[in-house]
Amino acid sequence: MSGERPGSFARAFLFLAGRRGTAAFTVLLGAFVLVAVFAEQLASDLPILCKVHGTVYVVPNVTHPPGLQGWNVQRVVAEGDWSLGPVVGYGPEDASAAALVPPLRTVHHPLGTDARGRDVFSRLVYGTRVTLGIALLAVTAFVSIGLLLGATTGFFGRRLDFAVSRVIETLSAFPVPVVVLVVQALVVDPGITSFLATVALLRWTEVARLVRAEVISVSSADYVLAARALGASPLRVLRKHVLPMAITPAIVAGVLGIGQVVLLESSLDFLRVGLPVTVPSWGEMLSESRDHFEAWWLLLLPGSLVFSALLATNAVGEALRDALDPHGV
Amino acid sequence: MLRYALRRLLWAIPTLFGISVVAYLLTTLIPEPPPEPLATQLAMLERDPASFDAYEESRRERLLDLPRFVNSMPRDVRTVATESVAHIVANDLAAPLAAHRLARIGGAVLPFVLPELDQLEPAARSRVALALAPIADRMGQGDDARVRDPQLAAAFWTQFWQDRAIEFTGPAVARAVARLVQRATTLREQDLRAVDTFALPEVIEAMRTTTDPAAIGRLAEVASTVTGRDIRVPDAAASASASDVARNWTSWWSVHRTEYTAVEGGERVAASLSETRYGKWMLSASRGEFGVSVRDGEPILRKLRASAPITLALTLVSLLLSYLIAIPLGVIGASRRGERIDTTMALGLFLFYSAPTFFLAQILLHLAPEASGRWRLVFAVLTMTAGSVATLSRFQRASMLDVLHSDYVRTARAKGLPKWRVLVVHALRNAIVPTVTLAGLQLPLLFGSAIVVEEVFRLPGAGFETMRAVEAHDAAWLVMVVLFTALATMAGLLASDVAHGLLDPRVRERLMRREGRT
Repeated sequence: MSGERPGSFARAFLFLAGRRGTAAFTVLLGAFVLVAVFAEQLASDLPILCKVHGTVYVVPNVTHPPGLQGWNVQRVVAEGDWSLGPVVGYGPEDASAAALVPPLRTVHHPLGTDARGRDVFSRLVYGTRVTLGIALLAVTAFVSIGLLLGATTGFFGRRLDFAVSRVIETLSAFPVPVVVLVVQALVVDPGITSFLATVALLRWTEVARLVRAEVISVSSADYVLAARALGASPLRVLRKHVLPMAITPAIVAGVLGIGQVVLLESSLDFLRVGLPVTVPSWGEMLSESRDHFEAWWLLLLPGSLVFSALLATNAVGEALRDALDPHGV
Repeated sequence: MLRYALRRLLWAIPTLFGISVVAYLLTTLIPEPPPEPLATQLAMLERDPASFDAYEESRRERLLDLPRFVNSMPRDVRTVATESVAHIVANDLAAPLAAHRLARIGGAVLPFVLPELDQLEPAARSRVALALAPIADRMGQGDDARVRDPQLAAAFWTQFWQDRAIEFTGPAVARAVARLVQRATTLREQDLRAVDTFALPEVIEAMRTTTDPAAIGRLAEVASTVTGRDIRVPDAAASASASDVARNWTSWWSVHRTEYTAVEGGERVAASLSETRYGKWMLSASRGEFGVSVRDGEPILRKLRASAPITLALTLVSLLLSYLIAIPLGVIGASRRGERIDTTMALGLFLFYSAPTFFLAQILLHLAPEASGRWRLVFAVLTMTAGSVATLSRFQRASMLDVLHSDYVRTARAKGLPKWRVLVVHALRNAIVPTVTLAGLQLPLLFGSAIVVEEVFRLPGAGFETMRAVEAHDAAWLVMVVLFTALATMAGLLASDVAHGLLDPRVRERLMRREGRT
């Protein structure tokens, strides 16, 4: 659309909070990544470091050594020599406590438990890993498809360009949430694979369109003409001069896409058509909250995580767009 | 402008085709039963011929016997007849199936079987002739003792063809059908029964064209007798049920036509595309037939008509509401750019922009769990509005800023016009155009959030219905939803572009120039 100026939000936001605002959101995004990577150190059914019956175990919570088969944090504390535990001594699947304990009632379950007595903190931590992992996979898939097709069609053009443009036009007519919902409902074994495949197959069009437009506008720039006149091969021109410029919209679309995939995944989980219920994810807890109305924490905790993930990716994405866009502002 | 609009419409055709292909591909996600092995089919036929017929019919109804996109060898009555005769002549394992199939198709195979009968060796000839006995029964020739006599059956059919071949022609049947439509006599009905299923094309065609319930009743009677498919008009029927019966037969015919008629010449080329699963699916979808729901057998379109008004009302009201809120917000934001009111608003809108719809909806539900139906409707509208207000006002602010920098606004200011007048009368008039045309793109997005909102607030709209279809794996409904939302998105994009060009001559020029270049 013609009247659109990119990132007016982010600019307004930057003005509001200064650079610190974006920085805060970048830190938030980084915190999500750290939680996802170090999930075991935050919540696990085994300690981080312990000595049991004279044997020292290092990170048994990650390696699950056969010597500690059948042990858990509580038993290690009681029978072992010494141990250094994770923040919460329960894995995401341990249904050992009373159901629906509200947050801040017991030390063992700081954020309470869900309807099956599983620790909420632990499930949120592992849910971060699952949800962010899925989002990253999906974004990597559709950004690379979009980058590849957008760059080749924009650069080599003609017939390929025509065909791909028609495909883009067709696919972008499909509202992604509706199609993913329907595919998950119809496919034989709905799960992560079908979700990822559908999202990747539908979402690349946006990236391809942005990259293609950028490639076309850059290709006619003077410095590219100059490079050509100097005898650079088309591939070299593409790699050295065109792609570095065209990759900008792909990066921005990728960062914004993470939030959108997180939103999509948790919305579908909320509607109970997403991942299998055994996988810990934010949306799974949200769908549970629909059955247990009184358990407000099952709604508010994962809900605000989804919300803040979206806030962070939107803020960082739009700030990136402003920072990387040479003709903006 | 007209030329531009027309060109856009023309470009929409390949997209339309692509959309239908993708929507069709969704139907292929459902697993389909593989065909039973030959031995099982034979056992089925031996135990109960009706169950074998039901098995073949169920595969045919679901189009499982057709290739997906291209049918290089469209099967029609001729190929089936030749194939079946070959099996009976060879007397192989599949011969009983072939004989049964010939008998079931009936009179329509005779023009392809009887002329060749003489060229077969005697034993094979009598086997084929005996296989045709059930047809003779239906045609009222069953009393003739020769039909069931291995020695004489072939002679019977040879003589039959010599005497009656003249009746097995299109014009003869058409005359008989026309007579039956005019007035019922036993003789006229017998005329049609004498050619058995060969009369079907003309009978169905007459059912489609005539409106007289009594005539439809007579035609349905004939069709039911020859096919053994009991869809008749009950006695003393209202015309509504007669037209239902006629529609039932025509849609049955669209699946079964090639079983009873030969596909010749140019029609054969067309059949290689239309006699496919995609072809048949698309043809019936374009007639508005999306099949019936697996939940209660109700036609999908009727279900949609019952539930769509709520969803439409939700989306339209919240769209209107978002515009009423978003445009003033955008104008204020742009005119006070950088001031505290602008930045506070930007932060608030940014929060709304990022808030997940289901989260907002569920929180509202928690705040007022006992809300009545009317209040839940209000909550639903509010939730849907929250997201689109943020998008629209951001857009309005940007386009307003664009306009505020232009010379004519500076002139208006220099003339000493009041600030509000410059903003509302001069600037907004131009700046509102891109925002308004955005409505076409906003509507399909709103439908997506309608699914969540209707589910949370238990509003029986199309979105709620969609979730029930998801639970029941109701493919017919789900594919229809995808097709409709995609078509709506495409139409929205088209309308938005055309409206933009219509309202703003500068855009029109730019669009025309760009179109001309490619």
